[in-house]
Formats: sequence, structure tokens, C-alpha cells
Amino acid sequence: MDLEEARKKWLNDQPRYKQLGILLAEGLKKEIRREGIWIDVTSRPKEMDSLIRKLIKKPEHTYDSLGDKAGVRVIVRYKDEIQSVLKITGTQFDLLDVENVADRLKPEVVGYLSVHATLKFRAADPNAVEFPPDKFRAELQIRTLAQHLWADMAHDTVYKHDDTLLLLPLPDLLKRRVYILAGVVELADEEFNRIEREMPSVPEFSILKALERYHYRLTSRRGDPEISLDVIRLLSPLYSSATGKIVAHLDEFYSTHEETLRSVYEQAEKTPDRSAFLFQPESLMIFDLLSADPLTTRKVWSEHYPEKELERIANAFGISFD
Amino acid sequence: MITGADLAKLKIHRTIFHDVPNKPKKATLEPTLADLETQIDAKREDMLRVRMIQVLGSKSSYPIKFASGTGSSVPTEVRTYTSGSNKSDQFVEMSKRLALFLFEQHTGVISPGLLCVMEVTVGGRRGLTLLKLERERGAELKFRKMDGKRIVDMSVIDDLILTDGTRLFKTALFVRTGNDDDDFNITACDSQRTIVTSDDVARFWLRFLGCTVLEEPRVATQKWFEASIRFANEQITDAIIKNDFYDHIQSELKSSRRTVSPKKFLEDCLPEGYHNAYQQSLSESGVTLHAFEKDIADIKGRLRRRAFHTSKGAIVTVPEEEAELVVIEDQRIIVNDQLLSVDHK
Repeated sequence: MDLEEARKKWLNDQPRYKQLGILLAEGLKKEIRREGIWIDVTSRPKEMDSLIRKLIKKPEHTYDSLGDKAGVRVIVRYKDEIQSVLKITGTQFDLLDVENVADRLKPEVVGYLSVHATLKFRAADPNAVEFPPDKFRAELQIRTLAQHLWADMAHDTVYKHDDTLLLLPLPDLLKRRVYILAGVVELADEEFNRIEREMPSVPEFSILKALERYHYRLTSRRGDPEISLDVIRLLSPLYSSATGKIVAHLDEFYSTHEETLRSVYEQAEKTPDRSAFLFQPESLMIFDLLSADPLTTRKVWSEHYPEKELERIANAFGISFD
Repeated sequence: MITGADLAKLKIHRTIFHDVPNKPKKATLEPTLADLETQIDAKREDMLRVRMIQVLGSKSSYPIKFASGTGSSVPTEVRTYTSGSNKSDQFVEMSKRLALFLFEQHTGVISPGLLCVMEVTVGGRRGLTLLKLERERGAELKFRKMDGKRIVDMSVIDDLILTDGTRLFKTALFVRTGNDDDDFNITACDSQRTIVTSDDVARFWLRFLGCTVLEEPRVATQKWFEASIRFANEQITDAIIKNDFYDHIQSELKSSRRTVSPKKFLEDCLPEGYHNAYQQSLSESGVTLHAFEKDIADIKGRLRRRAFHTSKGAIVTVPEEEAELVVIEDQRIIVNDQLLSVDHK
């Protein structure tokens, strides 16, 4: 492989791969958030030095055959969400060579975990004109927050994954500590997943989970769950309904008002003086109750929170207190 | 009809301010017009937007439509301007023509003030907002020159529009909904309309706008009256609350106020537990919570009551239409009805 030729090509191609990554990331963000899953999506083109190093390390590759010239990373909160993300991604993009890195590890080995795949626009996608799928593809990584923490920390130290670890002349005790740390992170990941599955039995948590589903369709901003639960506890009695019915009602309310909600959230991003509660998942519930019975909502709200904050939310949703 | 959902999607794109004094009969006083748009930052744009939502969504706002055969130039200006995209100088010129027309109307008891014109969109639909702030509230426009052209600084928004004492203005929001001349949703608000004032002052803003209320006042009044009576009959089960509610309806319609605000009526006259049901009931009858001009011509007979006074101080009042329920005999009077409640006063 002529490395000088690869350098020249990459200097020329890198901006397009950057754009490819951005478009894929935006498309993923839109589709996944539509399902109400909180995600953090980033993209990047490969750095020149990284590309050259890879060609030196893997001489079987040519410049054109390198599959990860652009990378898109999706971070989710819970392990169970990885499969949902893969499923949603597969409905909108061409998803090839899906590999769960955990499958490579022996049962007694712990370490780097992530799901990798190759991502391309479908031939029918309007972006495929500028980025033909036979040439332009990106590497997709999907991780949980815990997996990302481990990978990120590992990247800054030396033990990126167990292969690297074996290469390093580390004392056995240090190696053991590294493995234990990876195990702890994996255990934490499993526990968070289990807790998430078991939580919905608490009524206000069920409502919060439902509200988060709508919230993350509109924004990636994360609310303060302590406040969310307090507000839900305060306001949910105004529905005089069982939890299931409240959730079903909110689902209908969201569908009816989705266009308005999108506009309000978009505007709020540019508004420095917005309500402290607007980017909380429960703002949808507040909007619903204000639309149905503003006086009672104001009265109940004012017993615990500043009325001015409620008025700010109301105004954002086009409701006047005057 | 402009709804809360519409107001939530309100975006301001251009803003300009003009000073419009009273037109003197003899002297040659002229309005002071800005030559350039006022550039406003994101913070003030949001503050202005929120204030518009507070005013146009308030109890005092009401839906209107262009009046036929009006002498106002506002409908033509609005129709022309919102029919396509415009450049800044077109916006400035259109706003100047509106200010000059307003000046022509500023005679007699009409207060002078400043006119703010805003180019807006509502959910992507083109629109215009007009706002008149009257000078007795302390409004005074300070102009400065930029490249020889007159301009108002954005601090006017802090100084005159967003102060607590100026929560209500004369405002109107026009939103184009289609290509035809009458394809508009329009809402106006005028704090003076709810006060008992002379017709000239009360109707000034609508006359200037070249608009009329969306629904004939006598139709709107009858619809609200019937919807409210139906709600009381079908949904209020407590006899005392029901009786009080009937009394509130009577008082509202017989009061000297020119307008009825169903939103305010709901807040003032119904216990909280009934708010949602009343709102829904009105909505099912095609009655909104927007204020409307009151005209009881078609329901006068149903509001009139006949009172029977006895020698020992008893008083029986019945709706005029139900007067035959009371039978008068030599030594007694009989009311042929079922007792619902007794008030102890």
C-alpha cells in the first residue's frame, strides 16, 4: 500500500466522511428518539495518523477497503436498549456485520464490551446520491453508559482490551485489578438493567418512564429525576385515574400535540430565560393539566413550587394566565 | 380562530416602532416614523413573544375577521404583505403606511401612543402583529440616527413594553391560512373594551384594524347562554351550586360590561371541580373561552324575571317565561314547582 498516496486521498476525502458521519448520526438520533430512548450520538472521521497506523498494522487492507474511515457512536443507558437501537437502525439503514464484542470473550474473561456494525445509507435514501453505499460506509458502535465509562477510561490508560493487556508486561496483581474493575463495571451494567426492568411497579415511576419516552423524542436533555417524581406525586392525583389510564391519556395527548411540542422545545433551546421545569419530562403532564384545568393546576402547584415557574411553562405552551 | 397551540408556535422575525401622536386640528404635528427595523436579540425576542402570548391568549382577547366595506387600510396592507416574502425596506414602508393611517384616526378622545409592527410566523404561516401602546402609560419613544436614518433601540422593549404596568395593550395578530383575501385567523385584544366607555373609544381599535368580531354578538351571547344553561341542567348535581350558577349567568348578562369572557366567568363563578366539565361542555356546543361582545337582544325574554311581593314581606321571583307557575288566590299564592333548596340569609 502506498501510504503517501493514502495520505493524499484522505486529505481530500476526510471532509466528505465527516459529513457522512454527521448525516448518519442525525438520522439515527431522529429515528431512535422517535421511540423515546435516551441516547447520545456522536460521529467523527478517522484522524490521519490513526488511518496510517491502521494501514501499517493491517497490511491486508487497502485505503479503499478500510471500513471505519468514519465512526458513529451511540451510547444508551441500559443493556436492553442496545437490541432496540439495532432493530430501529436496521429499519432505516443498511446494517451489516453486526458483532457483539462480548461474544468474542471467553466466559472467564471480562473487558471491553460493545456492539459493532457497518452502517450505510440504503440505496433509496436521498443521501445515497451523495454517499453511494457501495463506497461510503461507517463503523457503528453501540454501548451502554457503563461500557463507555470503562472503554473511555481504558483508552486513557493502557488496557484498552484484553489483547492489549496480554501484550503488556504488567505485574499479575495489576492485571488482576484491571480485570476486577472491568467485572465491576459489567456487574453495574447488569444491575442497572435489572433495576430498570423492576422499577415500573411503582406508580409514579411508571408515569415518569412514560413521560421520558415522549421527552426523549423531543430532546436529549436529561431532567432531574428527584424533581420529576415529586411533581408527578403532586399532580397525578388531579387525573383521578389509575396509573395505566394516566399513561394511556398522556400517550394520546402527546400524539395530538406533537407538532406543538416540537416547536416549543425547539424555541426553548434558544431561550435563556425558560422555566426550570420545561426540560423536565413531566412538563408534558403539566401542559396537559394546564390545558384541561388551569386554575386547579395552579392552585396545587403553588402549594409546593413558585407559580412564576408554572407561568413560564404555560406561556411557552401558548397558555396565558391573564 | 387562533389557539394556544398557534401561539406556542409564534415566531417574531421583524420589529419596528413608530411614534404616533394625536392629530391636532390646526397645528402641523406629524408622527415620528422609524426608517429602520429595530434589531432585537434572542432574549428580548423571547420576552416580546411571551408578552404577546400573555396578551393574545388572555381573557380579554377575542377572534375577529376583516369587515366588508371598511375604510381602514389595514386589511389591504396585511393581505398584500403576507401574500409573499418581503425585504426589510418593504416591511419598513408597509409599517410606515400603517402608522400614518393610525395617525389619521388619532383624533378626539383617542390616546396617542406608539405603534409596534412585527412580522411573524405561526407554525410556518405568515403573519403580522400590530401593537399599540398608549402614551399615558408612560410611553415615550427615543429615536437615534444610524447612517442618517431614524431607528428605535431595542431597549424600548425593556422600558415600555415589558414593564409590569403595561400588561395589556391594543394588539392584533393576523395569520394567513390560505391564498384568498379572507383566509386569515385573526385575534385582537383591547383592554379598554371590557370597561364601560364611549362607543367611539371602545370600537376604535376594531375600526382601525378594519375588522369586526368573528361572530355576531347576539349569536355568540345566545350560544354561550344556552350552553351554560344546558351545562347547569345536565351536569351540576348540587342544587345550591346549580342555583348560584343560574344567578351568575343572569348577573353576567345583565351587567354593564360590554363583553363576556367565558374563561373569566368559569374562574369566578364555578367551583374548581366543575371547570374541566364546563370547558368541555362549552367546546361541544361550539363555544370557545375567548371573550365576545355581549348582545342580549335574542334572549332578553329569558332573562326577565317577575317578582311577587306579599304583605308580610315574602318575595317570589320567577323567570318571565315561567310566570304561570305562580297562582294568586285571595289569601295565598301557590308556586307550582318542586323545592330544590332554601337559602338562609
